[in-house]
This record gives sequence, C-alpha cells and structure tokens, in this order.
Amino acid sequence: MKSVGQKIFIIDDEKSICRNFLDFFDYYEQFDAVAYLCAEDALDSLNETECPFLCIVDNRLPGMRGEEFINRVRMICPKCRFLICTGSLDIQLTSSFQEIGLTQEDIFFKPVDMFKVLERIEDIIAGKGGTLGYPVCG
Amino acid sequence: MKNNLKKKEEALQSAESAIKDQEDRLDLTMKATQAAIWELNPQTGEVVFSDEWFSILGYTPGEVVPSFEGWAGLIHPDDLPEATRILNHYLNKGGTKYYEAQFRMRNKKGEWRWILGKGQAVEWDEKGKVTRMPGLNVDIHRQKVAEEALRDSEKKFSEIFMLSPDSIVLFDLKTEKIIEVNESFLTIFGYTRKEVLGKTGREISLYVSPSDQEMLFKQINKGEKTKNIEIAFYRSDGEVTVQLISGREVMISGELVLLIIGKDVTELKKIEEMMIQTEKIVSLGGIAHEINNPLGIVLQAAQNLQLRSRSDFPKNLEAAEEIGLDIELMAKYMHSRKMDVFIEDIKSAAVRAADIIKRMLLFSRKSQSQRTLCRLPVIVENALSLAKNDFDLKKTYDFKKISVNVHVEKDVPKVNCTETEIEQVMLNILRNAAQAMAEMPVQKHEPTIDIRISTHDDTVCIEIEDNGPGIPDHVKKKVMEPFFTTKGPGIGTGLGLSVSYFIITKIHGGQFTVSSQPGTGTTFTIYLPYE
Repeated sequence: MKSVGQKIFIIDDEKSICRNFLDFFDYYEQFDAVAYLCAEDALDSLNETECPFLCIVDNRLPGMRGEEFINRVRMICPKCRFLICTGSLDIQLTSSFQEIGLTQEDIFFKPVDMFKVLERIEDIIAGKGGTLGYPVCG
Repeated sequence: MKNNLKKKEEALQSAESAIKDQEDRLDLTMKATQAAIWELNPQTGEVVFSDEWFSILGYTPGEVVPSFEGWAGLIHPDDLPEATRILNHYLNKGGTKYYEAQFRMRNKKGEWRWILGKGQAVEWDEKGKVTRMPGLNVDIHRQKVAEEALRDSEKKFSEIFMLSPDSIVLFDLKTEKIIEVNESFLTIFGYTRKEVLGKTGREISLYVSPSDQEMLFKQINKGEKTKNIEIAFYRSDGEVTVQLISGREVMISGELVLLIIGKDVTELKKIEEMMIQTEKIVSLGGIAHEINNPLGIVLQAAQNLQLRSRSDFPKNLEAAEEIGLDIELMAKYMHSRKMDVFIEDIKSAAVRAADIIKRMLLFSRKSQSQRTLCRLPVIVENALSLAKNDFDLKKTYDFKKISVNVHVEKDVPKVNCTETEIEQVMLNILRNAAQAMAEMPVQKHEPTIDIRISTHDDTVCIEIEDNGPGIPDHVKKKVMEPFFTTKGPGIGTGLGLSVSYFIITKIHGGQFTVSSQPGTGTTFTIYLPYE
C-alpha cells in the first residue's frame, strides 16, 4: 500500500476548518490533502482526478448532504474510506451510516481534534480500521 | 183581589223562569268547563256525581256507586290515606275555607290519572257539622306528569352537580353572590359550604386577577360562547389553582342563574411549564451546535500553531532557513516567554469546551427514548465530569472543591435505560448537593459526596450521600414537587428534582427517595430495575 502522497478529500462548508485541516496535513508528507466547500465541487473534481483514499466529510453541507455524497463516491471509488465530522448527535445519522459500514470510530463530533483524526487514518492504513462492505448498486 | 192574584202569579212565573235560566246557565257553564261536579254529605256518606264526573274518567253515569266508598274505591292505594286525612282534617276543623287534594284515580281503562279535588262546605247542622259539601274534580294528569319529570330532571341535575369531578358554582345574576357550590369546588378550593354561600368571588378573593371576573361575567352576559377559558384562582390557603372555565346563564327552579364550571388544569399547566423548560434546554442544544464550528476553529488553529512552532518538522526548518531564522532560537524564545504554554492552554481549553458541549448535546437533545443496556458507573462518571465543569455565574459553588468518592459493588448488572435521562438525574442531584453545601453559613471543612452503586434484589441501587446541611422535614415532603424551590428567585427552575422523580419512577419504573438528617446530610436513593 502506498504511503506517500495518499489523497485525502476534506469537505466542509466552513472555510477556516478546511484551511486548518489543509495546514495540518501539510506536515505529513505521506498525505496530500485537498479541500472543498461543498459536496458538488468534490464530486466534480472526482471526474478529473483519481480516487482519494479517504474523505473527511462534514455531515451538514449546503446542497447535497454528506450521506448522499458518500453513497455517490462509493459507486465511483469503492475502496474509498470515510470519516464523518458532525455537529449534531442525530440518531438517524448514526444508523444510516452503520448501513454503509461506518463505525463509531469513523465519526468525529465537532469541534474535531485533528490528531485523533490522524490516529484513525493511521489505524485504517495499518489495517486496524475494519473494512467497508462493497456498496449495493441500485 | 183578582188583580193581586194575577200579579202574584206573574211574579212567580217570572221567578221560576229566572231560576230556570240560572240553572241552564249553570248547566252550560258546567259543560263548558268540563268540571266534574260532586256533592258529598259527610254525615251520611252519600255523594252525587255529575255526568261530567263520570265521563272524565271514562265511566258511564251511574257506573260508580254514589257514595264516599264508591269514590274511595277508585283512588290509588298510595294516595288514599293522605286524601282521606286532608278531607277529615277539613271537616274536623268545621269546614272553614276549602278542601283541596291531589290523588290518582283509576279510569275505565284501568289507567291511573292524577286528579285535583276541590270542595267547600255550604251547609252545617245545629251541632256545626258539615252536612253539604259540593266540589269539583279537575284532571291534572298532564301537568302532574310534567311536574314529576321536571322534579326528576332537577334531581338528576342536582346529583350531577354535586358529584361532578369539576368544580361547579351557581352565582346569582344580579348580586354575583354564590348560591350553591358542589363538593369538588369545596375540595379543590379548600372551603366549607358555609364559608362561601352568599359571598361574592371578590369577598373570598377568588380571582388572582379581579379583572378576570368582570371579563367572565360580561362575556356570559353577552351570550358569547364562554368555554374553556383559562383563569387562575386563589384557594383558601393562598395557593394558586388554574382552571378552564365554562359558563352560561341557565334556568334552575324557575330562576335564571349563572352556572360556572371549572376544570382543574393546575397539574397540566405545571407539566406544560416543565415541557417548555425542557424545550428551552433542547434549544440550548441548538446553540451548542452552533458554537461547535468556531470552537473547532480555535482547537484546530491551536493544534496547527503547535505543529508550526516545532523545531523538528522538515517544513518548518525549510521555511526558517529561507528567511535566515534560527528555528531552535525561536523555539527557545517561545519557551522562555511561555508561548508554548499559552498555546497548550488554548488547545486544552478548546478540548475541554468541546467535551462539555458534547455532553450538553448528548443530554439536551429530545429524548427519543433510546433505551440501551447502560453501565451505571459510566453514567455516574459522565455526570460527575459535567458537574466538575459546572459552576454558576455567581460562583457560589465550585464542584471541584467537593471530594467525591465512588464505590461500585462487584458485578453490578447493566440496566435497561435511557442513558441521557439517567445522566440528567445524576447531574441534578449532584448540583443540588453542591449548591446546598456552598450555601451553608458555616462551610464544612470537607464537603463530601459519597456515591455507592450496588445490587439490591432485582434492582440496581444508587445512593448519593452528601454531608451538607440536610433537608428539614417540612421541606422534604415537597422537594419532588414541580416548581418547588428553596433557592432565591431566578436561581434554578424548581423543576430539577420533579423531572428527575418523573424520569426514575414513571419512565424507568424505578424508585426515588430522599432521606435526610438536618445538620448531618442528605441521601438520595435510586432503585432501577434490571432485566
């Protein structure tokens, strides 16, 4: 598994949060982070670039919601992993993401500690982060 | 002489003719009024009945024996004694004024008809006994039946009035005085009947807002629909009771009165208030949610600050070199000026704030009653952690000053519960304990809270014991009541313990008790059933 320049997508409608994430991942040469302010922009860019290895998605986005974005990306990039950042504790959120195969460790409540995110990413790379089932086409 | 005789004859004829006219007129009158005439000789018992007398009962003339016994034989056995008594009383008194009685008589068809009998003595013998008494019977059956129906319905109304669970009051329209109240009114408002009859609402200080009475009476008077209007009243002990009032003018016993019915909704209002308060807490969750983004920025920027001041990061070294900065020196400066400490403070404060917000969100969201198997020790720890971050604006208590000891028995089973709700209960008890201890005029040297979790039959028992001022008996009784508070105005809602009581007993089917020794401390005990 490549450990240099792994592509990470960050999708959050708060500019400062995007910037902070980018600055954070800037230190870690093994990652190559790109940020988008909405799901649609991220999807557009997917058409032109290769699949990211991981997406950090804010659940509350203008336009398309995080959940739908994830489902769409899984069609195009079945191996992509996801981490959710959420400000709310909506139960429905949790259960619908469980269907995708995400677990509690993939969900981060805002305000997000970026080092914890990093830990989770490292676990996933090391194979300790479980696997997502392949998406059901439909 | 012949002339005189002729004159006398003519006078006689004229008189006879006049008498005949009178008799005819009487006959016609009798027939016109359909009066059933009778004439009784009380001494012999003989009676003469007119034709009408027979026909109003459907008999043919002569069908009934013309005697007192003949009449008595047709009277309803329940009515005969009284009717006879009235007659005898009349006769014994010498037949003064007139005789009147109501009784049922059997008609030809065998039906009972209500009859009014009226008579008057017109002849007496030398001893003063009545020898002739004419009278008449009138069929009053229809009126009598209507009277009884009215009496029945009035009796029914009276029963409903008295037994209704709602308060009912009858007011005099003109004087606005209370004519009658039912039992529920007396119970709910705490009065005796004597205390309220004849008084106006104002005289017994009934209305919390006197203008309410004016508004209410005016509305009813105008004939406007007056239904379920919320009005607050004072009970006899000064406590407030909220009622939904409906009222209208009604006719009772021939008089127009004001009927007011009150449905007690005091408890309902309290629950409403509770819900509104809960709503407020829930919207607090909305605010908390909004705070998360800027807080996220604080945390993340602090984390980045730390990263970028590290002297061992390649990119940092590169950037420093480019401008000719000795990054080691910079790190030294930052350390000597404590900038690293400040950044760490910002970071850990942001992390702490994040944690508080998370817990706040956790238990302020609408409890969609997500029941899970909970580990009570964990819930208690969460509540403690929240309590430690809890200090009111006036800094009258600081939870961190209290030493808390938690003892958990071995193998305490998990309990099926809504975690956030139990956490809310714990936090409420802890807060109350802390506040009580802080408010003591002489502070305890070592304010302590002991928490013990153990198994007890088929429940898990949580005891929270403080060594605070304790609760006096008269307060202890009311401590779980909604809105009861011993704190000053504006401090607390007085809802905490009552909501906690509700959560433990009604939602989780457990028990919630308080025991206290004034001067020594207070213990709250919760029992929660486990599967």
